[in-house]
This record gives sequence, structure tokens and C-alpha cells, in this order.
Amino acid sequence: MIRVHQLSKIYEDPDGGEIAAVQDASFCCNAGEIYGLLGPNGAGKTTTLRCLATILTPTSGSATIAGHDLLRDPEAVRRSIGFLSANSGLYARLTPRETLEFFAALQGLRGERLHARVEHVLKLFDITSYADRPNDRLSTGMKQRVSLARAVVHDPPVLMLDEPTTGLDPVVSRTVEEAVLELARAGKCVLFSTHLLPQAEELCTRIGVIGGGRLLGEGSIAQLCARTGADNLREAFFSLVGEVPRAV
Amino acid sequence: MRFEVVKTVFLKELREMLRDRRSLVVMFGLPLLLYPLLAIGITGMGLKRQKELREQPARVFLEHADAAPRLRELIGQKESGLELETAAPSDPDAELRAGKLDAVLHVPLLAEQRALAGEDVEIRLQLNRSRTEAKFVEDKVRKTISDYERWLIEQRLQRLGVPATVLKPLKTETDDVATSDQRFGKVLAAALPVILLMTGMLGALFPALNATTTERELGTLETLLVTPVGRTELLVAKGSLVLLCGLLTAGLNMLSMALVLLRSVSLASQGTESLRISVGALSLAFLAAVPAIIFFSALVLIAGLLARNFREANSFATPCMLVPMAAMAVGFMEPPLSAGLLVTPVVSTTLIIREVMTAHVSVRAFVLAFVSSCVYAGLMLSLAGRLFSSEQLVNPAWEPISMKGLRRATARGVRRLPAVDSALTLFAVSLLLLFYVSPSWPVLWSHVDPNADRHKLLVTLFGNELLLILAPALFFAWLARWRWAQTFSWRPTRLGVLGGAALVGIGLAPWINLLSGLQQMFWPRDPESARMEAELMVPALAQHPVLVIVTVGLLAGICEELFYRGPLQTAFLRRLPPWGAIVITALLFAGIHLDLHGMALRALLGMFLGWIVWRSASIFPAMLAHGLYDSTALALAAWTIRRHGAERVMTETSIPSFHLTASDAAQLIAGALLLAAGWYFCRKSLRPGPQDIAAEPHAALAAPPAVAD
Repeated sequence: MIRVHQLSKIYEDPDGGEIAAVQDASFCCNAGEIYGLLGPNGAGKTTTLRCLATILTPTSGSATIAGHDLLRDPEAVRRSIGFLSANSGLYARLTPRETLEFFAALQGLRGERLHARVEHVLKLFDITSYADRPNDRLSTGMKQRVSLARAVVHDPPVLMLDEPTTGLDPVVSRTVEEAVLELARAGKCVLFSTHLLPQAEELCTRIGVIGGGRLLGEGSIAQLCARTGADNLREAFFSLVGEVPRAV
Repeated sequence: MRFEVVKTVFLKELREMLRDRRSLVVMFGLPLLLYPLLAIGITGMGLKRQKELREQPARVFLEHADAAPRLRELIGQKESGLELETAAPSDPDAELRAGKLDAVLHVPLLAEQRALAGEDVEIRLQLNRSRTEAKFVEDKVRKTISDYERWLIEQRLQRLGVPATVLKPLKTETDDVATSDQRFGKVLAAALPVILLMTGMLGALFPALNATTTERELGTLETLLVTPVGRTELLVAKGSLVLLCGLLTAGLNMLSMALVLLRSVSLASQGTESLRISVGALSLAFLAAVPAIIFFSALVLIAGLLARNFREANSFATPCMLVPMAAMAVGFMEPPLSAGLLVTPVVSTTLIIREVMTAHVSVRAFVLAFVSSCVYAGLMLSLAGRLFSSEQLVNPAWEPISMKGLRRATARGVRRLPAVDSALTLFAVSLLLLFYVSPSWPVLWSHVDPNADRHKLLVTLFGNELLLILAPALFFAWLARWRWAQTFSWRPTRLGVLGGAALVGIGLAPWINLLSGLQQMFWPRDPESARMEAELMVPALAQHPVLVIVTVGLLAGICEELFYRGPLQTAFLRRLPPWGAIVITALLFAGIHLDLHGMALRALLGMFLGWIVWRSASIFPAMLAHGLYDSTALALAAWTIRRHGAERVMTETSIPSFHLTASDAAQLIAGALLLAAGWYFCRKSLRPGPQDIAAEPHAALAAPPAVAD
């Protein structure tokens, strides 16, 4: 579903040089899999996801999403993905139903098909009871459900989630995590970026550890531990990113 | 472009806006309720106050009242509107300042007697013009003095046996051929442009900020950009709503203001004036304002796109709101129509609305103003489109207008390239210095040299070029630790490029002279500024032609090129595509000369200079071309002075005329040949080859802007 080959994104340094936000990243993620991009803040996770969501244009490298080439057919890529980040917001003056109808229409759904799909997603995420309340009157948990529903309203085969639980309390985080697991079980290919080790450990089928813009290692938790000679993901992570874990 | 997608986004934006009471109040409430109420209230209060001031008698003290008995009598009459103060004030100045007295008339002793005897008598009026009543007081006193003067003349004539009717040889009657709607149009024309543009911009402001800054702050813009909707479709949908709001607000304000003004003027004239609104003229005035409102809608959209948050957007929008105020200034000045003014942004709209409202508009003028406004609106829209297409749009760390470049480079000894903000600050500093300090050079020099006037041009030139242009650029480079060679493109280049640039510089001079003459035909230069320039240049060229030609060429070529094609162009090249950086630098170069008339031609020259620096990655060809252009232009002027004499040249400078003599034709042919040869050498020498490493640094400068993860 997602095939990334030597993807790089380089920016100009304000002082005249260059900053490699992502450098030669290569990985793949299959249907029904949750691939975790695990890395500290500033590692290049958001840039990678934004490149794959066609918001940013990679400086070099290539990628295909659901069979569509990232550079040659960005519109088809956008049709195939559902994108959600910690910063994603909702239109305050629209209701959840109107929000979903709007995004479904932008994805090309029309008429009865659109309404049927919106109703299905409202039920799927248990939003029906507050579907006609303005978004600015919803709790944080309700809003995050609506955001997730918005990301999948057009039933995309690929989901890209950029730290979707940042800033959420454990209860809401749990709701989001369960929804992600459910979507993966339904056959979606999920690319999940996080800097939370327990979350990656619990959710992800495979993990790519990213640091300084480079993919430092990838595989299942067992493979990462075996490669680094670590006992657990925490040690493997710090071994890869080059820092000694601090004693707690 | 998919209409269905644009419609979906537009309807969503419209739905959101209709649920936003703040926007609705600004769009409908303000013009329909508050604005007329305020206007009527203010007008009512103003009329009441005026009535009070008219009817309230002005207290006047007449010094030596016995010396002018008839004047005392006239002041005492009720219809004079004056009240004679009999008690002499101890300190007239203090009493006038305190408002205890309204006026003091100083009449000399035996004034009336002497006046009747045929002597000239001086009466001095003393009043306090800082008080609101002063105008009314002055009018009443002057009328009484005028009556008194008339009485004195009548008395003199009577003594000479001449009847008083000799004073009235003519009877005049005024017949106003203006129709009632033209008369009202004249009243409306003063305020209508600024109302249309200002309210159009105000109406567009909130929807524009909602569609850009608020969306980015909320994180909804990112969700829109990952849908299959194209950025152009998004911008068209959002821009359409912004424009609709601007047009609706402007239209409602226009109607409301026209009705309020009609009512206020009718009230003020108490039915003596017949006024009427012309619906056709109002509609045409609105149509004339549409491109300008599109321009301002795009401008506020740009402000919204550049801002990182709502607060910053408001601070960006505030100076934008001042742009329509230019319409007010033009309204006051009421300049005559000219092609140049009809293609000047905002001014063209103001003038054409005035012409439409007074029914003096011609189809040609309307089309010229409308088309030129459409071009500016198109340019502003394309700039908005370009910003909206930026991949950095959703990056919260993106700072298209950054102030970080103003900080000094780190103490690690790392040198850097100028950023746009620091380059613009440098430009602003130099502009302010030129505005305030430049006129003082001759005055300052006069302390050193008593004959400073004779060297006015050279003193101004040395002061401006070295101290106000070059010195700030070098100071900024030192302060901000810019990389000297890259910032100023201080690199050698091929001889062919230098030779080519020199030929182009010389060849351009007669052609720019020709274009300037042609421009003079349809946009005559202000005679006063032409005279001032001639007074500065012609005597200097007549006295020391060689010295002036060489000095101007050297100083302008070196100092101005180091400034413009140095930090300014280098900074813009880092953020914009090369053509954008070259055009903006050229416009700034043309703009700093503070000469609207010569702006287009200077910009043209600036574009060539910018291009050659960009292509050769060296400042030297531009220095050579600029210096030789200036020197050639001055040499041609010196030759004309030598042939026709300084006085004739001075007189003809301010006359808008254009003749093409045989000598001009010869100059143009020679210029064309030099241009062709210069262009050929430049192109040939600049052809890219494997050894063209010198061009690389500038190619790297045109990289996308900085961003954080």
C-alpha cells in the first residue's frame, strides 16, 4: 500500500546552508498493518508524513501510495488517504454531520452515496447522538472522534496519522487507539507517527525508528531488539537514536 | 478547475460566514443602521452648531471708536451680527485668547476724517483663529468693514459730484447648467471613492482572515489540502466569498451613504437646492470600483496568508487599510485627468468615480482606468495564488515575513546571506535618510564653502551616494555579518560580459530618452518638479560638464549597484524565483528616486541590471552598464545645452513636447546598434558551459524558504 524509496526533503537554512529534514527514507507498509514512525521531536516524522500526503514536495526520492505515484498523480494519492494530525481541527460553526458531508463531497461522493456513507461513519464512531450539535460545543474526545470520522469518511485504503493523541487525556487517547486498531483490522494500511514508546509498542505491527531526518532502523519490535542487542523497545530505540536512556 | 468543487467549498464558506454574527454586523448592520444613524446624528449636531455660531453675535471692541463713527454705527446694527464692547480691554491679546472678546478692531485717530479726505487709512483686525467661532466672527467683521468701505467710497464720490451708481457698472447673474444629479454627484464624488474602497476592504477583511489565518490556526487548512481539491479551486472558492463580501459591503455602504448625504445636504440647504441621485451614475461608479475591490480583497487575503495568527493578521491588515486612504487625498487634490493618473492604482478609480458622478466621463478614460485596475487586481490575485500554492502554507513555523534576519549572526563567526526582512530594513533606512537628509546637504556644505550653491549637484550627489546609500549597505553588512562576496556579488566575470554590459548601458541612453519623451506626450511631467531638476542639473552641466558626467557615472554605478543588486537582490533571490526578485528589486530601485514620472523607465533599466547580475553572478557588469548609462544620458544633455544654451533648455524642460530631430534619429540608430552588439556579447559570454561554476551560488539562492519539522 505504501512504498517509500529514498525519500528526502531538504530546506534552506536561514543562514544560507541546507537542512535535511528527511534523508533517504525507505520503508513500506501493507494493508492491515500499522507501521509506526517512532522518533523524538524534530526527527522528521511530520515532514515525512506531509511529503506522503502531498502537502510537501520531496526534494528527491519516490513513493507510491495505494499504487499511485506520489509525484505523478498527487490527486489520486489524496483520494486514497485519510490524514489526521495532532493539529487537525474542525470548523467551529459546522456540525459533525455537515463536516463529514463537506469532506465527503470534496472526495467526490455525491447524492445518496454521500448520505449513506456519512450515516455509516456517524454510527461507526458513535457520533449520531451529537451529529447536529456545532463542533465548538463538543468535548475534546468528541472532536477527536469527529476528526477520525472525517479522515475515513471516503473509506480510504491508507491512513496517515501524525501523533493523533498528542495533547489528549488517557481516556480520549484510548478511544483513538482502539479506533486505529479497529481500522487496521478492517484492512486499512495505517502509517502512525508517534514519539510515545508504549503506544508504538502496543499498536504497531512494525516500527521505523527515525532520528535526525534518517530512518535509523525498522522492523518488528523483536527484529529491532535483535539488531541492536536490546532487551526491549526502549533500549533499542535509544541505541538507534544514539542516546543513553536516563534512569527513572 | 471543477465548478462542483468550487461550489462545495464556496457554500461551506458562505454557511460559516452566515453563522458568524460579527461578519454579518460588519457587512449589513454597519451600513444599514449604524452608519446612517451616525451620519445623520453628526450632520444634525453640525448643523445645529453652525446655526448657533451664525446667530450668536460676535463681541467686538473698536479702538478709537470716536474716530470712525459710521463704523461704530454699522457694528451697532443688529443685522451686522456684531456686538460692540464698550469697555476697553486691559489686555486685548489675553482677552481674545481667553474667548472673552471675539475681535478687536484697531482704528487710527481721525480715521474716518482722513479717509473721507482721500487718505489711505489702515484698520487692523485682531482675532483668535484657533477658536471654532473665528471663521464666523471674521466673516461678520469683514462684511461690516466692507460695508463701511463702500460707504466711504460713496461719500468720496458724492463730494466729487459723481453718482454712486458708477460703482455698479455691471449686473451679473449666475446660471448653473449642471443638472440636479450632476450637482449631487459633485457632492458625492468627494467621499464616494474612499467609502467604496474602504468599506469594500473592511467587508472583505474578516472573511479573508477566516479563510486563511483562522483556518491555519484551527488546523483545518491542512485537512483541506489533503483532499483531492486543487489549491486553485480552493483559492477561487474562498476568494469568491471574500470578494462577494467586499462588494456587498461596498455596495450597501454606497447606497446608504448616498441616501444619507442626500438627506443631509437637503437639510443643510433647507430645500433651496434641488438635488437628485442618478442610479445610472451610481451603478457605473460601483462598476468602476469593482477591480479595485478585487485588488483590496486579494491584498487582505495575502495579509491573511502571510500572518501566522489572527493577531498578526490584524497588524498586517492595519497598514493595508491605509491604502484606500489615498483615494481621500486624491479627492481633496482633484487633479486633472491624465493618462498617467488613469493607470495609477487607486488614483485611477478615484478619478474615474469623480468623472462618472459629475457626468464628465469619456468612454476612453473609463476603459483605461478600468483595464489598468483589472491588471493590478490580476497581479495581486496571482500573488495571492502564488502564496496559496506555497507548500509551506500549513507549516506553523513558516514566516514569510520574518524578523529573524534582523538579528546578528551567531558569535561562532558564521557569516550568512541577507534575509528579506533585513534587506527591506536597509531599504527603509536609506529611503528615510534620503527623504530627510538629502535636502540638507547644500545647507550643511554652505557652512564649509560659501559658494555651495554653485556645487549643489555634486555636494548632493556625494552626500547621497556615499553616505545615504553605500554607507548604510556596508554598515548593515558589517553589523549582520553578511558574506561579503556573495551578498554584493563581488566576483570577477568574463570580459565579454563586461564589454556587452558597457555597450548596452551606452546604447540604452538615447532609447530611454525617446521613451521618456513619448511618455511626456500622454503623461506630462509636473512642471514644478521638472523645473527643480533642471535648476539642479543644467547649470552644473553647463559649468563642469566632464566633472559631472564622470562623477555621476562613477558614484551611481558603484554605490547604487552595490546597494540594489547587492543585499536587496540577493535577499529576494533567496525567497523568490529569479524574475520575481529582479522585478521587485528594480521597482524598489525605481521607487527610491521618489519620481513617479520616471518610475517605469528606471524600473526597466533596473530589470536589465538585475538580470545581468543574476546571470553573471557578478556586480561589475551592472556597475559598468549603470555608470555608462548615466554618463551617456548626461553627455547627451550636456551636448544639447552646448547647442541650444542653458536658458533655452531650462525653459523647454517643463514644456510637454516631443520632437524627433535628425540628430536624435542618429543617436537612436547608434544606440540600437550598440544595444544589439552589447546584447550579443552578453548572451554569448553568458552561455552556460561546464566551467560556469560562478553562476551556481545564485542558483542555490533561489531555493525554497526555510522550515522547521
